[in-house]
Amino acid sequence: MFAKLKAFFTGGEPATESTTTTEETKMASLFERIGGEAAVDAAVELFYRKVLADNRISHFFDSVDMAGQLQKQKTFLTMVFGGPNSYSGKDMREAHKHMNLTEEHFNAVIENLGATLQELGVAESDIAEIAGIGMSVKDEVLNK
Amino acid sequence: MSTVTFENDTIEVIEGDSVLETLLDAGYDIPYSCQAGSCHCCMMQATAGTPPPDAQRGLKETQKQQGFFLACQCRPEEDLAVTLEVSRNTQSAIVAKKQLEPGNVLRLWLKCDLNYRAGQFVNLIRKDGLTRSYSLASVAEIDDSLELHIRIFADGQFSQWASNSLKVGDEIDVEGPFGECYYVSTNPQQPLLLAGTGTGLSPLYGIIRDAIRQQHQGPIYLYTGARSVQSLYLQDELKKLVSEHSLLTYHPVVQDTEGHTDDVLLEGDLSEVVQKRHPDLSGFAVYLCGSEQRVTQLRKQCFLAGASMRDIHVDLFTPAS
Repeated sequence: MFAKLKAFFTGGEPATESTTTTEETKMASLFERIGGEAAVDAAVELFYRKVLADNRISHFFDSVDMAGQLQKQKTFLTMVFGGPNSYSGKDMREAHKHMNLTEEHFNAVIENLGATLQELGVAESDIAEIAGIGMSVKDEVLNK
Repeated sequence: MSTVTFENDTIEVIEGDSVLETLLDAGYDIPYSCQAGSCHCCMMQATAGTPPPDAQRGLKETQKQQGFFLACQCRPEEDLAVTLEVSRNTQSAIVAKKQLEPGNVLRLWLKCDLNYRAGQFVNLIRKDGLTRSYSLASVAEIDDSLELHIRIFADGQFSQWASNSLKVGDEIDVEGPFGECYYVSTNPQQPLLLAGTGTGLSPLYGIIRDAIRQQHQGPIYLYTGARSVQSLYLQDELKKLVSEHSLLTYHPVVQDTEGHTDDVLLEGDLSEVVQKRHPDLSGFAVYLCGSEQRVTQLRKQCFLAGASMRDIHVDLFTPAS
């Protein structure tokens, strides 16, 4: 399951438009297509459980303020789902720059994101688009 | 046009503007971040008026009931008075009764006209200002006085005073109520898991009786952790409650039973016992009260076992500094 995802996330395969895409679904934004805020709500706890159980990154997420952490995950998911947010690259850099994050940490988050979306039955083309948005902030997150 | 009142300043809200935009434009320093309703940085509380439903989306039921809302999502349809601080209210109470329990716990009853939800906490303020927080074991709709459980520490400034010097008939100030750890009746079929250490039993005792009072119909599982059998308290009351309500199951958990046997007593670690007996908590409402370390650990455990964060209610006890 991960091999396929990895191809998406490492950009090995460009996200191709599905041939069955109708004119209407093309019009709808990614965020609307996957179900908007309800999709974020469905994904956020699943995603948070996965990162908490992932030894590579769980320590970054294991906070006394779990409710606050959950809200941060929600903000992150809203962003990568193409939803309304006002985060800039500068914010992403600022928020992560003291965490000494490596490529492995970043990939782990993206992997858990992909696994969450697959579990929820999100179309692979949409997963690829979401991963693409996630990948687009990689340099900021890793403070490169 | 509706208005927003903040720190005694009433401001007209421009059509389409949010409470956050209105207050920022007026020069107030309100914390905020995403402006999309997801980060919850700009959470405020309405002290007058009702925030529109859109401004409360994603909040816990307990927060909604107390008027919390997200300023960035709040386009008011009526006049609102809002605050960043938890509203404070202090009143005088009279000591009605004192009773010493096993495990160095003082049960204290206070006559006080306080509007609260069972499981919330109050601050007790001594005349010289010494203040401590205690959770409420009483249920406003059932009990005619407030009931608090005070763990007496050998070097505890307040608890020693409460135990030795505070007398029936004395006056003491009560501030509050505070906290969001109380029973929510939106789903009466939902199974409830309650776990606490030490006097963490205090709010749980109130929450359970409140749930029963509100005709909760799902199973209720209570676990309390203690070092030894000798330090378990409130046992007669709990046994009586269990005998009266078939929905309720109670298990005290001690590290070492030291040969004591009982049909409900369990030996081991509280978290491990809960994990073993409830490996799947999806659909549960969870109430956790007691020491910060234990509650934090149990909260994570229960979340990973499938309980939704929205359904996990906690009351963290922190030692007085």
